[in-house]
Amino acid sequence: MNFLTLISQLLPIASSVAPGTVAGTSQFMPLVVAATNLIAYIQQQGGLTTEQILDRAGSTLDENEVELLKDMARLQGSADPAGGGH
Amino acid sequence: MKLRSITITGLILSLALASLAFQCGGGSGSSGGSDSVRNAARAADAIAGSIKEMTKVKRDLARQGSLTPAEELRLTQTLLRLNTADKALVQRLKALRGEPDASGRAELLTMFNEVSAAINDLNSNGVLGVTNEGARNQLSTIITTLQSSMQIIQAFVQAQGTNANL
Repeated sequence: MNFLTLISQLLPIASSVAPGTVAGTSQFMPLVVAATNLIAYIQQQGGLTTEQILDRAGSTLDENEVELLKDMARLQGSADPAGGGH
Repeated sequence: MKLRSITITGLILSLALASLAFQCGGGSGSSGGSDSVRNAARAADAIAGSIKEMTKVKRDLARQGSLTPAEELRLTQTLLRLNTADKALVQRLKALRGEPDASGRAELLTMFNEVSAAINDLNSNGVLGVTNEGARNQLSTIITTLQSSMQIIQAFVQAQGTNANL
């Protein structure tokens, strides 16, 4: 079994030892989801050439830039003291 | 208990990243990619993925009320700096054809240092300034994965320096 597959399967165990981790109810859930996504993202590298990995990194960074600039606009333009705004 | 879970998740993520450093061969690209270039590319890509996930976590935490708008703004600004730095590194790695010359090595080192400084900025001025402990711990876990990625790139940059001295 691929090492990354193994550890991605360990993540639900990590989440299960946290109290109140029913999906969407725990503050801990965003991290578990992020960790699972990130491991899956890393896992996909195995089937890619170095060039493809760099191309994918470039695309992800372009998407990140768009999303972060949206957040900047929202946060700098918003006087909403409650935060979030999504 | 929650802190322990976050620690376990952080450990799993660090292991995932660390495993990259020991993976060799298996699909080296047409850009003459040696294992060290491939590992650096994978780490730079992992940083891109980490920024993506941290952006989502940041939004979720803000939606839950665990981040103030001022804290989210600082995180966004510092994430943007890191994103720009990683972009420059990825472009430089893409342009690599074989062993870099002295100016190429100097350029790589400068870019590596900027990514490293951006991660420190994200940690010091973004994550550590978050007042909600649970939110801060979750964001710190992703910082750990970013630092693990940097160790892989550092090994690559150091190897380039060593090769130059041979």
